[in-house]
Amino acid sequence: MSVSTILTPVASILDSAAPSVPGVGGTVMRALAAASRFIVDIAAQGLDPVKHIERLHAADPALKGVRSEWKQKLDELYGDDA
Amino acid sequence: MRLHSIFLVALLASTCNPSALQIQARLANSVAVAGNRILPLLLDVYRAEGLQIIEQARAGGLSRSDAEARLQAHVLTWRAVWGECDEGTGACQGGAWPSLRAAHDAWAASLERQIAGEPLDLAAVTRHASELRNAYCQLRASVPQAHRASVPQLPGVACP
Repeated sequence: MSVSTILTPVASILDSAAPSVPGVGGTVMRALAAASRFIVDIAAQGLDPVKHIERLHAADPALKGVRSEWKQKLDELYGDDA
Repeated sequence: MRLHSIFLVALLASTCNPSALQIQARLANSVAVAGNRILPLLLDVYRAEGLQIIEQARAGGLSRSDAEARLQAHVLTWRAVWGECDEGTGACQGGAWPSLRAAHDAWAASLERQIAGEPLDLAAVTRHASELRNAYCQLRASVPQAHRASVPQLPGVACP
């Protein structure tokens, strides 16, 4: 039985269960899922030669969206109050 | 650096085994895949806590400027992770995530050049890989303690 056969369902279960577990427990489950998927990903790459390596995404666009959402919430709850 | 790290084993193997370049490339690819799964988790925590701060301030009868001050304190707590973000362009600099991205990009680009046929530059690859590990561990250390588990210890990239 391969590593991915064992760990893929484990990671999926952790991912789907994590939102219903509040606080640190849910965070730990998400972290375990991420670590499991890391191992699955390495195992799944098999013997095909890697020519292009995936890059890490920029956080900037999402952070701009977060700041915009906060401003919207402030406007919604406070209007133009100073 | 811990000598039993898989990460180091992969590095040291590249001195005597040509396919070890592929081992490093797979590791670099997997670090990106894992990192790109971690990023939305961190962003979601950051966003949700900010919204909660605003809602609690309003519910507690605080003024908008007080709510904004509390939100600013939250931003400062996470500044070590995201860096300083320009309000106009949205570009962020100096944080652990941008540093990790830059370190990974340098490592991956170096590996890709060598996969494409450039002569092996072991010193450069080793330096890039070491910088990547330091940047990942810096990210773990920068995330507020309550959410540090969102950035797991990755096999082969163990942080102290």
